[in-house]
Amino acid sequence: MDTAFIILSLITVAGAVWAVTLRNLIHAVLSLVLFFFGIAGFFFYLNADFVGWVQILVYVGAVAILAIFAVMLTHNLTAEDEPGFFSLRWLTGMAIAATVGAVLWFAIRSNAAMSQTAPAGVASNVADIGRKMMTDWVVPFEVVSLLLTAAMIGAIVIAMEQISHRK
Amino acid sequence: MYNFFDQLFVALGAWLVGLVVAAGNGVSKLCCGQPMSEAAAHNVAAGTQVVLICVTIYGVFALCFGLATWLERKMLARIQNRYGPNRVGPFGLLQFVADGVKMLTKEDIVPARADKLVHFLAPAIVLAPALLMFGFLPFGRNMAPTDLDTAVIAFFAVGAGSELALFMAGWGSRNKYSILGALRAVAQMISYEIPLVLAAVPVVMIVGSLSTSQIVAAQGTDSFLDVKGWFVWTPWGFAGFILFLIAATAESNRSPFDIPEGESEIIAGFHVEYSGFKFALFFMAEYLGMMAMAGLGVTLFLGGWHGPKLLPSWAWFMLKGFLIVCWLIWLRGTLPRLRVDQLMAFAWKAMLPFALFNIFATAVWFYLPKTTFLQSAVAWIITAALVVAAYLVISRFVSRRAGAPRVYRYAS
Amino acid sequence: MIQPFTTPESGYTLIPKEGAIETQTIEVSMGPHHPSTHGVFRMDVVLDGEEVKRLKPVFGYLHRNHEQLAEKMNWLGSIPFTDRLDYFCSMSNNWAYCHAVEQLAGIKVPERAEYIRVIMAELTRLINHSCLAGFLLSDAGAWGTPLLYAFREREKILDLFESVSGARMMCNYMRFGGVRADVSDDWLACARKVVENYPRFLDELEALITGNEILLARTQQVGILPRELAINASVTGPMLRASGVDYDIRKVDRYGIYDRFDFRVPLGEVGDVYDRYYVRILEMRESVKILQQALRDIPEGPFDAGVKMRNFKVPAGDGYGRIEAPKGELGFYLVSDGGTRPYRYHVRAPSFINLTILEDMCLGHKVADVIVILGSVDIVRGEVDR
Repeated sequence: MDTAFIILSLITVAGAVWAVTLRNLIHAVLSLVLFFFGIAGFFFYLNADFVGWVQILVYVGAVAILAIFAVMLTHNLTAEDEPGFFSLRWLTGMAIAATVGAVLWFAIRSNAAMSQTAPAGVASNVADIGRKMMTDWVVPFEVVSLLLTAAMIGAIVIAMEQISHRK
Repeated sequence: MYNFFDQLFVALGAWLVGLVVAAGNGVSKLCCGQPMSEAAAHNVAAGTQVVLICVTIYGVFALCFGLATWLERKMLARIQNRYGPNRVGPFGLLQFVADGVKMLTKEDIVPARADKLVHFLAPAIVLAPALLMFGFLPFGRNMAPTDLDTAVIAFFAVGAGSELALFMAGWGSRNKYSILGALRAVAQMISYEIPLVLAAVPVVMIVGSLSTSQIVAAQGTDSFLDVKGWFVWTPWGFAGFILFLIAATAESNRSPFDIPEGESEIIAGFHVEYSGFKFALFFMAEYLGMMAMAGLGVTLFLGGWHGPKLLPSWAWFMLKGFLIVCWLIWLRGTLPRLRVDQLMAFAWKAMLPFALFNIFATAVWFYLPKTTFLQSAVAWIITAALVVAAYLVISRFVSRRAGAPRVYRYAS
Repeated sequence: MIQPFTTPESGYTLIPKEGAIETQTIEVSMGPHHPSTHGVFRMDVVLDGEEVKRLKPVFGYLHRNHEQLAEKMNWLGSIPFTDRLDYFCSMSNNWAYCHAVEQLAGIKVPERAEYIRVIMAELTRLINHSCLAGFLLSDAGAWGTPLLYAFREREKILDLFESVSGARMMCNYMRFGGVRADVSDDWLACARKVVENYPRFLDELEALITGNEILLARTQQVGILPRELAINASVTGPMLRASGVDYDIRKVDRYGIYDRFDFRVPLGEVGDVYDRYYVRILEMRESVKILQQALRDIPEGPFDAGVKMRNFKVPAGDGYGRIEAPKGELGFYLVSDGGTRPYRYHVRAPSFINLTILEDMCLGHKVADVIVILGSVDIVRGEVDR
């Protein structure tokens, strides 16, 4: 637990907490962006350079923009009235969060592979990633591309319907 | 002699770092009676190196930004048949100093209904990626600020960070024009990021690495005229360079793609509510982004710091970057602006297919044998034919919609 | 659930459809401080995304009470004020007013004065149309380069105006029955040289602009004005001719000595922005032809009919005099009660009338097109607001 880890965790957790608690939705989305940067920081910390940069490129450069567009182009920009401190909604939320947290904790602690530290001095080799993606993991790669294509076609179909309706 | 000038700044940097380490040793001898440990000296040297690089980049490129504004005003003026600034300093060279003073002393107006935090942070967040992008470019022989394995992806990722800031600026001002400008800016930048990255992919394919230092090294030959190995002389490199230039113009919001700050329509678009130094920061971020893109173009396609050994390597890098910047300014003074939907159509329907086909052509080039001169020539011709055919097909497809000059009749 | 948004004038109603995504319109006020609205002018535009759903022009920001002022001054005194109507084309404004008064008072203008008037009017037409090309491209985003080329030619013509009338823009040159001062032979030689060089500038401008793909994409099929609508809305000038209507007052009324000159009237087919722009380029070439003929044929003689200006009275009655100003039909409706001042003085300003059709041209286009369409209408605030 050295300083870098503590600072990164603070940034990430702060971003996550603000993202769910801030009233102004745009501020919440910007906190989510901070969270993404924090996760990218973790990737750099684990010597996974390529994944870290791709995290920034994809999450900050695309997903966050999408979220911002979604928030901006719809109406309500402030959250609804906050529920009281011990209301039913709050208690249910806390219960679910505690359950999920407990399950994750036990899963991570009991899985031996997860508790190993990363081998020191291994730099991410982009060529290796590429090679693995094309040989060992080619089926998931193709499946994900199909999924993305389907999503793109679906978005274009919805937008085209919109335009033809308006005209 | 040539080596002396070539490695001048490297030697200067090493000397300064040595000075600082010596000073540190002296200080620690005074305090603790013994010089610093190995690890401490190493840390001090590394830290000083980093600080030195940062200060150099800020200093040099802020000066370049000033000179770029002067160059732009002079070049635009000459294209438009008038003088540019010629009062402040010889040939108006100190105009940017005067402008800087003006911007600093202007009142900082924040709209009353603006989102204060977002409005305040946007200029800073737009400038940080612009400066960070310079860290990935090799400026000369042994003069790369960092040597990342993934520099090209890092460059594009960092560029994506500045899109967010544009949106923050537009949103934070709570002004319909700004929001319009911000939306257009973000849509344009996202659309053009794809051809930009795809234009860089052939280079990465051929070199086999994402590291800018290796890309530059792959374009060098050991001769005196270090020109033959540049990727721009290959057909796919030339097509990629043109694509990269167009996409970089769009990414930097320069005319003819300057819709986000379309001055004659939505006035200044996303930065209409910014005055004084915050506007100066936006301005600086735009020019620095333009110069960084030019630098990446030089690195990927124009051979980086390679050049005939008459000038030092860093001079070649600066010269090539300067030429690209001149080209961008020339483009600005000549062409009118595209409408936003035409712009998107151009990116998605024309540039994207061409970029994808360029990748295919690069693969063909890669697998064709190129050991003898004849084989290289044949490979060159085949690849060039592929690229030209793709261009003709796509341009025919695109220009089917565009108009043509008409013939007019006269009243009888 | 958003309310239906109806505008009775244009009959547009926006109602959310079943199952479609609800959208809302945004209302933007473009102007009055705007680099491209050709002066202080405001447009309240209702946008659906980028598309214009409704456009309401708001003008009057430059109203200077011109017509009321003219009723308080004698006939001669309002000539400098007519300069300031369409401040780009002061000579044409002067001529229109003098033409109207001459018709009412029955003053005959000598030959040489008529030739001088034609020369000045056609030079003004050259200035106006070339600057319009520049301004249109500047609105389209070309950062002023064609505009400054047009200004270079304009400077030469303004030098000519200055040497003959003493002022570059507000010339105050025409008088009832002629012009204020004679033109010397040197001036005519200079004018001949300017006119000779002008086609070269036109070729340069065309090479830079006309084939430019970006301009073609921005201006073709944009802002189409159908023929019937143009006639119904009493649009005049190059805008009308670009929609295909053959109506040029120089040919219809044959005022002055225009029937002696050999020139053609270009017509457009589609009536979009590109047609309006190109018809003006062709008209410039025709103006050069007229100028060459006029400068060749100008006779000697008096430049003034010698009308006494002290206590100048116009016989009672009313009349309407019009000319083909560069922007359209510029007409003056004058009612005289026999005194030294007009009883009623009304300006039929072409920019004002041409501007009323703006909404119909802009509906369904994008925000960027609105600016380009406004640029092609060729308005000057001084005329619109008087």
